[in-house]
Amino acid sequence: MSTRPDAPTRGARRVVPVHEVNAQIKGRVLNVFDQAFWFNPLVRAVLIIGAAILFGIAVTTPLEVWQQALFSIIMFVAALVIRRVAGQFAVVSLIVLSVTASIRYMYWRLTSTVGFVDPLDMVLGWGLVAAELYALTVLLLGYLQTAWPLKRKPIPMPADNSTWPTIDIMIPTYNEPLNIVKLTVFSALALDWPADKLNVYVLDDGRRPEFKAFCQDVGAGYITRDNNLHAKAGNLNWALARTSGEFVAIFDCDHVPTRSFLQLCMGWFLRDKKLAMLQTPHFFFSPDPFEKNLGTFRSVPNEGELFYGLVQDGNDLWNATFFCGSCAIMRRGPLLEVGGVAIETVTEDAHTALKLSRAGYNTAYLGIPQAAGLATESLSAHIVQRIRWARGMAQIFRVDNPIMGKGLALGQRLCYANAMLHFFYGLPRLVFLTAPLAYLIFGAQIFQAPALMIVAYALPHIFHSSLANSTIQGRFRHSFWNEVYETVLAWYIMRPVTLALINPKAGAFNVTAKGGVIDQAFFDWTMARPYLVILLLNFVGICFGIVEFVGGDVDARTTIVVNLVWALYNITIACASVAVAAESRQLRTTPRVSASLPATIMLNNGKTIVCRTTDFSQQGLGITLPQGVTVPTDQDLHVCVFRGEEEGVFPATVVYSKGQTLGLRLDKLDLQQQSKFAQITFGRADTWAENWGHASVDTPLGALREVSLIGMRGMKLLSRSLYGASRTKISTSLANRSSVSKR
Amino acid sequence: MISTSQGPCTHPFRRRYLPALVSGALVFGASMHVWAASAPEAASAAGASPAAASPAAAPALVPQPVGAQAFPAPPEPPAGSRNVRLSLKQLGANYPLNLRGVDGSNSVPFNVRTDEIVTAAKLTLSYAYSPALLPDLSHINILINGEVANSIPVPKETAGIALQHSVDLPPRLITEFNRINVQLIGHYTMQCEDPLHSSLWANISNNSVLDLTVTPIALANDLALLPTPFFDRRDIKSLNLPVVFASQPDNATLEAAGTLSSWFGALAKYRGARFPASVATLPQSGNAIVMIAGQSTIPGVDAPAVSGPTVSVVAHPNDPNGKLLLVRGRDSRELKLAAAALATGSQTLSGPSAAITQYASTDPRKPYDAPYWLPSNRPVQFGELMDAKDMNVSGYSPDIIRVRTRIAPDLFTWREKGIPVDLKYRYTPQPDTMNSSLLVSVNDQFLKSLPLLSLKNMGGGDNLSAAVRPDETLPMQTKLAVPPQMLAGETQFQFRYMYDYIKQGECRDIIIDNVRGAIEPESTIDVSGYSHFIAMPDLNVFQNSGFPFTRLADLSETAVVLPDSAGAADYTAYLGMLGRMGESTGYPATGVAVVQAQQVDTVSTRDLLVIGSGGNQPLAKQWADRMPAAIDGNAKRFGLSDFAYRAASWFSPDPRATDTTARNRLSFTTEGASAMFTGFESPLSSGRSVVMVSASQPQGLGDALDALIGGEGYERTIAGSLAVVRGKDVQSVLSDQKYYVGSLGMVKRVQWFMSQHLTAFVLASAVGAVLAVLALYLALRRRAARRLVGE
Repeated sequence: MSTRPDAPTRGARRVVPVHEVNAQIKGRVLNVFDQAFWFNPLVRAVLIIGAAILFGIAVTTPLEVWQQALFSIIMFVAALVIRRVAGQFAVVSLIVLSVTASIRYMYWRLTSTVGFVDPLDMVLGWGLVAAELYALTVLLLGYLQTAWPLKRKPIPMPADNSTWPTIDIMIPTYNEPLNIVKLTVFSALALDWPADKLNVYVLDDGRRPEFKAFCQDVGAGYITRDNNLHAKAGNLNWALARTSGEFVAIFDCDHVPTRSFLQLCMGWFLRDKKLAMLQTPHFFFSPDPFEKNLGTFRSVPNEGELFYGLVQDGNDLWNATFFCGSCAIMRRGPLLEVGGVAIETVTEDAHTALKLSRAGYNTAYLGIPQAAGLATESLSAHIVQRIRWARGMAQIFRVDNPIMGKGLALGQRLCYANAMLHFFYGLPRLVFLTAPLAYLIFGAQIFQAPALMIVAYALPHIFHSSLANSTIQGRFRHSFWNEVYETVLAWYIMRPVTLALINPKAGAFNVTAKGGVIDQAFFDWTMARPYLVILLLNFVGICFGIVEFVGGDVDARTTIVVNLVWALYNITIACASVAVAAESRQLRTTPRVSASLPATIMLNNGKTIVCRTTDFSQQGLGITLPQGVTVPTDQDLHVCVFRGEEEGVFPATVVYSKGQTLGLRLDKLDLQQQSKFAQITFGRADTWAENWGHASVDTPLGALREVSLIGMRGMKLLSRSLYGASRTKISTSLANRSSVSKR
Repeated sequence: MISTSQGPCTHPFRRRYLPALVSGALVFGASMHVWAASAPEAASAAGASPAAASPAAAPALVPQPVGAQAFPAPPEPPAGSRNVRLSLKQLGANYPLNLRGVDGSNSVPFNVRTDEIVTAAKLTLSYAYSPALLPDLSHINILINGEVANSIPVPKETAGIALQHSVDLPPRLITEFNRINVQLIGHYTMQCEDPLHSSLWANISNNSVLDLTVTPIALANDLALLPTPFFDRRDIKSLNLPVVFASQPDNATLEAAGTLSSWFGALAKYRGARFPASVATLPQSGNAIVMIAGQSTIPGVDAPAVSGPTVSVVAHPNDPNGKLLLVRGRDSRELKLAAAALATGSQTLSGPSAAITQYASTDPRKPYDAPYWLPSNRPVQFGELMDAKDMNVSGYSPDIIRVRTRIAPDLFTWREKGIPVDLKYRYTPQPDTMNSSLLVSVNDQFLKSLPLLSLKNMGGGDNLSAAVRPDETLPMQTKLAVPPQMLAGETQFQFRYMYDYIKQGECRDIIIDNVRGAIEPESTIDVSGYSHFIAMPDLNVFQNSGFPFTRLADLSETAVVLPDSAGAADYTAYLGMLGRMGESTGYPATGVAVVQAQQVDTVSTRDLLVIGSGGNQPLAKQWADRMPAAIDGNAKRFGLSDFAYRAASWFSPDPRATDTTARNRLSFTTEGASAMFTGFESPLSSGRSVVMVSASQPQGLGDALDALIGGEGYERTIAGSLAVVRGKDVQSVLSDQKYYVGSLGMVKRVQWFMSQHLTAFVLASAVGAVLAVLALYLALRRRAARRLVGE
């Protein structure tokens, strides 16, 4: 089990309760595989050739339906047993089983189920096959990416800090409010690094005087330019030309680094001279729209956790970590060599990493959250962001395709390719969401095989991939949530991706973002439109199916049932997506972070109370008082918060008091106090790592239940909103009528 | 609503010939006046009523209900003549003849041997007709070769009753190839009528009998006539051609005889052929083949010494109408040469006797190139399989077009989608929307219905009109996939054009026979994509196709092991079986080897056909442990896995894979079992097959041969690895398929093996998974280690 200086229990998969026993077993296995025998080229050749031949047999041998069923059951039981064992060996085993089941399914699919005759069947049928092929490709590439997360550990810096390199911290900003940027700047200035080797620059594309003044006050550099060409990439390149540190660390203006950031990350640059970029996770201390609207903050892993918890770590094995625009360090030399930050596409970050890889430099990923930021606030803003990513990836796919071109190893090509292919899920996802309708409504035979045969071949494909992914992704993505995340975005992503594929230079699709404070819960009808259509279609399909089941051909019943189950699943997913569109209320502009820190309250009468914090935000603190002590509201006091030996004293006002719970507002801090407060709270090295990868471990059935419940909630919300909307409409029309009649 | 009389009740042999219709029309025209004269009061009522025929010419013979009188005894034959009695069923009418409509007609063919002429002929009809027929106008015509032989009245009193009526057919109308036509002229009203009204019917039983009195005529002794008179294709009876050996035959002589019997078997085709053998005794009468090697002679046969291989035809010494086909040589080797030359080049011989001076043996045969078999190395055009003129039909419900071929029985069709047939056909498109269709069946199993769209259906248009040929037919093309299991052994593709007839309206319905249909000879069938691979033993393919012996059409990889002291019964069985193989291949067995048990090692690389009776075959004992069963005198012993155990085919639905194993070995004795067929792998050479035909008594071999030829009376076919014959009862007892013949691609072979052996498949998959996991784990682990060193 890995331990790190600041990440004591980094997510280890532990399914068997007696983990010590497993550790022992694992230790022995490792020893076995260290024997020279395994490194003999002949042994490896035999392994590979034997595996290839037998794999070919396992995939291509046709079986009767009962044989296939039996074979599938044996395989599935084997997988369930293997799943009980921890360790990478088990993961690789599950992947092999899943790949066998899926390729076997696809081989059968392509050789035995596509004898279409009817033109309608042919179009719809091949459409489904294409979608399935896409899904299979992404599945396989996903296995490649996640089979072996590297779990890189930090390397300590040499004791003599005179040998440490110089670093420029760059904080690009455009239109974000100062109080957000302030926090980042304070934390950046407080990074544990020799002061003479650390420069903090605010790159203000908004050219705002108050930013300039602030920077001068706190001692940060302030760089502006007279244009906004190429947005963030241009901004960074402009600053690169005006700075000279050996390394560049980039933080989005709302990403607050912890003080240990540089010390933890820089060690690898000293060890690996070819290392050009090191990325750390993006951690969000506010809920994203999914977490906010579904109420799953910190209980279900969010959309980003899979990428930063697993995919990037897995990419690292293949030397294919992407630069994600923030919370990363780059070596200046290589960065300038590839022409600075890439400007050809709207995802300059990933493209820059691709260029570095092509130039022969290494990239690395350190899976310890050392910075935290604000998640997008509303669904529409979230969608806008994802559209940009998807569009950018599609652009890279067109203008600098990783499969083609020089300088990449195969693993890198495949990892990059999957990162881009992944964003093409829009159309395939919509195909899957509507595929059962082809049969239920139109009676199209898009699957030229008996229903039982389909079940016998397709179920293993689905089960094994779910099982393997659930085991691999465990804490980072719960089963079925992927479908929800993708379904929400599918429709919106499809058009820009398609357009970018056709013409990478074409302009963006703009969706109006409703960022900031959501002062009243509302149902975002505009955004929900696509899911509502899918929902409606599947409902119609189910009605058709039931009618057909009752009154139609008895022989077709199995087929109908298979399609009905599929449509029902689609409805569940669509309902969950609808639930996301129900925007819940969010009043606080600076979100709270839960944290239990030792604190002391000093009342103006000289009395001090030892207590603990419950949470903090940029301008406030939550406090739990000891038993029996109360403090009235509207009282001015001082609060003292500790970080180890260090302490900070801040003036505060009690704005909320109920029993032992106290809410303090810190609005009278001077710059120094603000900086101190940021260091003691947001800048704590262990703040984010403690919350990292600690969501509950996935159990597929539990996740299904979770998603179903959310689906039901979505249903309820929808009906209520419908009712509400219709009532408003009626009442307004009544009012209008009455006013007309009055006139 | 118009009934088109195209339902399943209309049997497939129904024929409508243009000449018949023309002659029918002539009959009608000629009799019109008679009718007008005899029934003037009905003339005005009949008005424009088109069809009418007079019963005035009907003979005084009154039809009698069946049962009231038995079949009339055939008249006393003139001297030297014989009587032949044939039912319509024997003549090819598998179903009763149904006559429908105002002018329904149907026919059966019959032929007369070249060496006989018909002196008298009588047709005894068993029939019934509709009570709705107007007796004044309606009648049934019997036509022979288009000429009316008789008209049968249809009085009201006997309507709807099974009747019998004898008709003398004038012998002068009968030629070598004949056709009896039965035509219903039927009317149900004097008003305007529906020509296809359902009440217009008559039914002629296919048990109706044709009695022929034939007198033999002497033919010249001329080799040019060959194979006549020894085989006459006009004769639909099974061929019975005695083979006489002048002396006790040696193996080469037997091989020569086998060549001839397979040749005649090939000629006899479906009729079946038997070759009763005898040594030194001529049959009392009739035709025979006589094999004379060296100096041996047969009493009464004038056979001077020859100076080389010679073939000649002489008269039977005891039967002026019988002929003997003498095959002679100075030794049996020359005899063999003569037989081969005769079988492969009879058409070049002429005169009473021919010496074979030169016989260049043809190129060695290639596997599966038998003339009767569908070539399996290329797409085959239908035109190669049958005469193009037989692929044209006319009329609203015309005769079925039949394309016959034989498909190699060992095609490996496992999991194949279907054998591709590229069908090109033409038809007369009708102007309006109709339900016409072309029905495609294979071996009487329905396969597909192709709609014959009307011009209107297809959207009309000039393009379409341009596509219509000058003969007003429209060429079409479609691809069919015939399920492989429909194509076993002898195969018949059946194409049936069915045209919808649309009623024109009151009194305007005149059926004009202007619709045509044709299957283009350029249509192809392609079995070239299939491997030859079959699980053996499989006695069913032996019975159907003579497989595996017939793989090479000249049987050059076949050896027949005869008993040491073989007798006439053994020879008869041997010749009969070779005739059977000739029927399958269509090629004489010029390469067959005949040996005795002690020389079996000399033919160890061949497939072996072992014949024995009454314990005279040593191999039966020698190889007993290799066989699923053995006959020791009367005691029969075999490893039993009952044929019913084929229910185990649940485990593998492919019948070729019933790899069931014998569970018990037990001995038992059966009385009355006359013969057994046993199939097993050759103990001498793996992949080679042995089929052993054994009988406890010599005459049991005759039963075996009859069972092999099969036909009426046999309910079951020979199948499996062990089949027991008791008289006409055939029981397949065992099905132990233990070895495979042919070759499969490596990939296909592995797939097939795996799909039959789930345990092996699971094991292979498991081992493969373990290897893959190890390989991947090691590779990933090494890569991770390298990455973490990070130099």
